[in-house]
Amino acid sequence: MRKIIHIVKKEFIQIRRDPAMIRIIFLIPIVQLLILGYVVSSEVKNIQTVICDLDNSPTSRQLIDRVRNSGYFNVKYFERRENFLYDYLNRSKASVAIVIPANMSRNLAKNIPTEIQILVDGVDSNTSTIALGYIAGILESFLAEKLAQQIQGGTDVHLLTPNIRIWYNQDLKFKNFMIPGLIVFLLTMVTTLISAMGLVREREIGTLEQLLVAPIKKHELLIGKIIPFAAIGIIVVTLAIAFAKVWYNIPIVGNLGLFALFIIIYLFTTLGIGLFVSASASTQQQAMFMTFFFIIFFMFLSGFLFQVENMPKVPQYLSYFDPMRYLVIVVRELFIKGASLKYLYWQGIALMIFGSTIFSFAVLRFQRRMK
Amino acid sequence: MENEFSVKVQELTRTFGDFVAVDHISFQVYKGEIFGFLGANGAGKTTTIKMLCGLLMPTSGTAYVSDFDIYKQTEEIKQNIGYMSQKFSLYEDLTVEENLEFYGGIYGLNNHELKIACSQAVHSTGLGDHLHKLTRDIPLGWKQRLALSCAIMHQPKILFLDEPTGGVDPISRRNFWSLIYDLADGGTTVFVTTHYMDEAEYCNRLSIMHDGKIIAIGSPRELKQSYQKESIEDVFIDLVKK
Amino acid sequence: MKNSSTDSIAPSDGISALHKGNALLYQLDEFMKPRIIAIVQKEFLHIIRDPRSLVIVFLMPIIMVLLYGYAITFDIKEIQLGILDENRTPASRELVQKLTSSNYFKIMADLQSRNEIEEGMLQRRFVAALVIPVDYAKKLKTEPQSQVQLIVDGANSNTATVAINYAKSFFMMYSLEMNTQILVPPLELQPRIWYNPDMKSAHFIVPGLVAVIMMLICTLLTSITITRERESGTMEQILVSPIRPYEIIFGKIAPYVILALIDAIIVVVCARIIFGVPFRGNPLLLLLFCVFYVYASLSLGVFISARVKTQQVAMILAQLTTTLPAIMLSGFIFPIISLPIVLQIISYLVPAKYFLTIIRGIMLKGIGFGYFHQPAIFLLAFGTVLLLASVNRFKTNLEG
Repeated sequence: MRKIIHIVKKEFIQIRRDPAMIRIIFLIPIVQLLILGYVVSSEVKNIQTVICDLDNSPTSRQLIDRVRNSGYFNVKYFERRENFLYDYLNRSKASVAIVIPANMSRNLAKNIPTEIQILVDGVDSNTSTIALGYIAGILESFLAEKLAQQIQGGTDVHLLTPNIRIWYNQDLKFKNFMIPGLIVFLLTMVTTLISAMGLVREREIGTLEQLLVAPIKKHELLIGKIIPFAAIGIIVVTLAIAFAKVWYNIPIVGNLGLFALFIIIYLFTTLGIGLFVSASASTQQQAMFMTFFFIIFFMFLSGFLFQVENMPKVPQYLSYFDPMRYLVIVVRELFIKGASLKYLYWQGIALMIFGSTIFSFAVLRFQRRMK
Repeated sequence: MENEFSVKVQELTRTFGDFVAVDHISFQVYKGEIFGFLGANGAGKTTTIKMLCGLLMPTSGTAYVSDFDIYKQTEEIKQNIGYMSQKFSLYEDLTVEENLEFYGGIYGLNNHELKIACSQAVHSTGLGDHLHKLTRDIPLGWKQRLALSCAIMHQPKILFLDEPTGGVDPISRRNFWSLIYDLADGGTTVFVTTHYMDEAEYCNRLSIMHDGKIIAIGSPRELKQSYQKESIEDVFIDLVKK
Repeated sequence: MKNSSTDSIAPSDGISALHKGNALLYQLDEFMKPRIIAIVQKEFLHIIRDPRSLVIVFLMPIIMVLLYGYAITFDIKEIQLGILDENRTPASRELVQKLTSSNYFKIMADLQSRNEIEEGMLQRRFVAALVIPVDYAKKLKTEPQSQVQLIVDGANSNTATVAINYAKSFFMMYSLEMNTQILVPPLELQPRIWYNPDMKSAHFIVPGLVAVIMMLICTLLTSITITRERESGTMEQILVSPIRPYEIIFGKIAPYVILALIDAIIVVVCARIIFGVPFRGNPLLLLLFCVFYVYASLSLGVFISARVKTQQVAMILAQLTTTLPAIMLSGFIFPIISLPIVLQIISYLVPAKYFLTIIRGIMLKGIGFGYFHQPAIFLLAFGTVLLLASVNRFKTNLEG
């Protein structure tokens, strides 16, 4: 026990002496939260739009106003010649072009079918899908109003409309969904990275050999090395939550104590991976790359950025092997919905299985490698 | 018999693939003596010392360190030995005192023992002025003394030194050897590898290694007599040429 | 090769005296001299001797292409729906039947009570629940306007928004079907999607990966290799030779240029074969721009390594200033135009942003050189400024 304390103490002194390390631990999560927070929770808006209004009637202008006032489109250009629109898309000056045909208002009055042409730069498939959805919505409400005028005259109509209520995240703020996920990502990154570097560095500077001739048990060495990393992980997460609360004003409905419990279980996984990398790599460079690989894998299959349910089957199955997936679910359910343990115990069990398997595998690997 | 030897080695061998690094060597080290391992780079000195310290498993042969079997009792051995390697591994970002405390600590000294060991180390090496400096900021000669102090914080019975004086100036080397003599006088067995011929002369007994084999063993005087040479250097060159 | 590296050492001292008036020409001449080749060669040996790094360099792009190409999907398929039918009449069953056969919703649960709604949402079985009230059938016949209740789990606001939009248009269509006498204004959208008509995410993402992977290799590997050399003390050894700082820099980065280009080719080929991403433009033009981009990113890597002392800091700094912006602030996944203004301004300093415009333009749009003046100029200027800054800094940093 005393030996472990000495190792822990040494680690903390080393961290304290290394200003770069302190910056990595404290400043970087905040900066990332600040920048990435905005990036990942950004909703598609300001879509660069060019409009070619060939009708030029009160009705067409009404329609254009709706597009402008929707907040989604940035109508930057008006073009009179339809065949010039091509260039706007090619030069990426606009990603959406709307063509209102010459006789739209007349046709509408006479009930002659009219088509409004939308040209979409499909390169960014996400933005273009969303843009099309927005336009469809605008047109739909435009039509609904015209419809309402018609119905006012009539008598025998029976309309059915949905009465929509939103639970949990009433204002539909995307950041409330993304920021908690980002916290989990930051925790994963910081703890895996520093634990992966920890032992490799000792090997590189030669002090590991000195430790190995000392009468210290492998597990004592391991525990001593890992406690500081776990502590750092907990500090990082606490800071990140506090910052997310103050800066982004995200709701925390659930029990933070329960979350802390999950974090501690999860740390076995990330520290285990770091340890595994540490035992496998012989240079810091290798350790860095291996860690990077794990983190990329975790990030994309966790559902943090992209919904797992929308992926093809194979990545969906693979995502079950991504421990981060479970904690991302936990953090969202806890923060937004305030779910109790009753609804999260599967995630807890999965994380425990991951933690114990990965950690013991890493320990074995470490012991074998040290011989 | 059992009490007489600190290290007993029989037919010890270590191979790396096809390469035989240590080739059936046998020797004994008496308690309290300074035993030198002389050889060119790659002769197998470091491999031998690593096996004796439990850092490397032998391929075959037997060896006992302080009467403990190096195959089965590595943990017991570690408790009784000190080790200092050629790169004397210190934490450069810890102060001198913190390094001493850390190395003492991982050998299981309690706070009281640590204090005593630290002040002893300071007393014998004269590190007092540097105690609160970062290790990276002190001169090489001092680092080497610090490394030695770290290796003996727990008062080991046997001290293994693997080319401890590499890259150090002659005066520091002399000072270092006087520390080694002090230790030996106090009853510690010192097992040292070197390729400095003058250092070889300081040893009580010497074995000369070449290509993984021990080609001569004895006190410096005996070696010089039996090969009829003026210095160990001449003995060594003569032996290796064959 | 060994010979040439030794005799190249000789002429450098007399440079200024001999070639005062013709320094530039001399430098060009010297640039071709074999001592730079000695460094290139050594650097290649480092890479080849470290098989793990080699695997990373070649396997990583393929794995990333697969991972990103398949895992990044934006489309939301069907909304998982729970139904609480309190009416249980032929009319309500007809509504449920319509919902089931629509492509908008997937019915996950037939609920018995209101309590089950919250239970189901907490269990994440569905994200929306439809409540058909007890008097549904009666009101539908008598009232001009009747309602059903849709409860949406707002946690994932994107999914919630989609659910709401789906519901609105579903019920509008349903109302119109029931009231055939209403004349629908005959205005229709006719979308035409250019460049990526099937709206495949992979066509958007995979070419972008070229930018990310090249950035990764150029900055991360170079910044590490230079700091490693300094840490192990071999840089000192090189510096005492008459080699000049820019020769070291060029010699050290040349192998990574080649690696980065090979990776770019691997990714493009994978994109073509695995995901069927079209290549409409000129491959040679793309290769030229790849070189520009490599130049800019390598300069960034050298710039970092000229400033930091340890590998660890170099790695983390490289990740933060290059890889992360290349993924997050370049338009690789998240459109720049939707970001807060401060981040939009920062994005102008991200080389990947410019290269993304180029590679997507060439591969998907098939447009030519005329469209890429601005990004090309930026990449070259960016690289040159940083490189000049590092050559000076490099020397002082090494001496200090």
